[in-house]
Amino acid sequence: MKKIRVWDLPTRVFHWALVVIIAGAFITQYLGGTAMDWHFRFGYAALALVLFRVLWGLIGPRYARFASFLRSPATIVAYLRGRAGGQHSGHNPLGGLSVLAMLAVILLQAGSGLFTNDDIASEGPLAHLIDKDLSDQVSWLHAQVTSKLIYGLVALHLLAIALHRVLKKRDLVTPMITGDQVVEGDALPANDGAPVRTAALVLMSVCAMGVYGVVHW
Amino acid sequence: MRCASLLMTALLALPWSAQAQFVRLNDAVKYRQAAFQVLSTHVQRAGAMAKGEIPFDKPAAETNAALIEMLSRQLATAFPPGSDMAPSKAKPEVWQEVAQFKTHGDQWQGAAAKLSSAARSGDANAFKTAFNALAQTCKSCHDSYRNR
Repeated sequence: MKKIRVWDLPTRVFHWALVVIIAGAFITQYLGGTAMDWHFRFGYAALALVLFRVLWGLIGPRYARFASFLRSPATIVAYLRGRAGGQHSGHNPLGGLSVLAMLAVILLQAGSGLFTNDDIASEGPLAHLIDKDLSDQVSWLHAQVTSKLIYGLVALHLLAIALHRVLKKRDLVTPMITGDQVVEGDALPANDGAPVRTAALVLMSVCAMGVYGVVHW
Repeated sequence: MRCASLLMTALLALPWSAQAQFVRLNDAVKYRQAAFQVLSTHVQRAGAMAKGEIPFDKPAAETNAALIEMLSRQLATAFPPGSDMAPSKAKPEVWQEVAQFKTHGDQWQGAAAKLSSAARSGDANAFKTAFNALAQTCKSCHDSYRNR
């Protein structure tokens, strides 16, 4: 048993920023009216963050990489039956799948939002490029379908954290704040030095500029 | 005779008045969609001012608000029974929850009247506040009574 760095700072900042953004987007769509301006800003931020996380999943430190947490269906089933052997540093097999689902659905939600309208006084920055009827259909998907998928995934995420705490006596929240997790065996720490953090900052800026460019198309 | 005249009075008092304004029921649908299209244009123009995308301009604000107010009154009587036909996006609840639907309409007309007074006052901040209240009434009614 030893304590190692599992979640690098960029991954943690990504996580908590996404929490704020999803809460903000949820509240502002409920308020409607001129609060939709802020709903849009939360959406742009979500888009930039998810783009960053996808790229970070390719080039980021060990436990942030897709290659480290995307497992075969057989492994996921074995994990669910309690036969995957011991603890998992970083994401467990099912958690890895939930990361992928969460990123995909949020990308779909933020991306489709660019083409929506609220039939009042707000429309996404790219809505004028498509027909109004199509924009209405996209709006329906955005407000009635993908939004509910996000609520469902967030609920599953919170349920999983609660189950880990109650059944396995494992705290998953503190490591996402401090970055450190107690692991078994010879698990290697994640690289979380200044160069990694600087690279993340540059990558995040590029993603933000890319989204800015699309929004002001 | 007395009975017959009472019946006539009762029939005349029924909500035929709304229906009588339209020659055919689907004319009501066409009227609503056309009116909402015009309404949408003016709500968007008023909204651009409320959100500061374009500068507040008193005459334009007054024109937009006046049209929104007028259309809010006309549209309230444009949902005669039986006019829930394609391509209408109105939910059947419009005709099932008559009282609640009317409450939504009344709130909308009240908010539209306030937008008009705010526009006449020439106060950009009051206009923004009134617009926000109006947009709330749009949203709550859309959420309950309109399919997308």
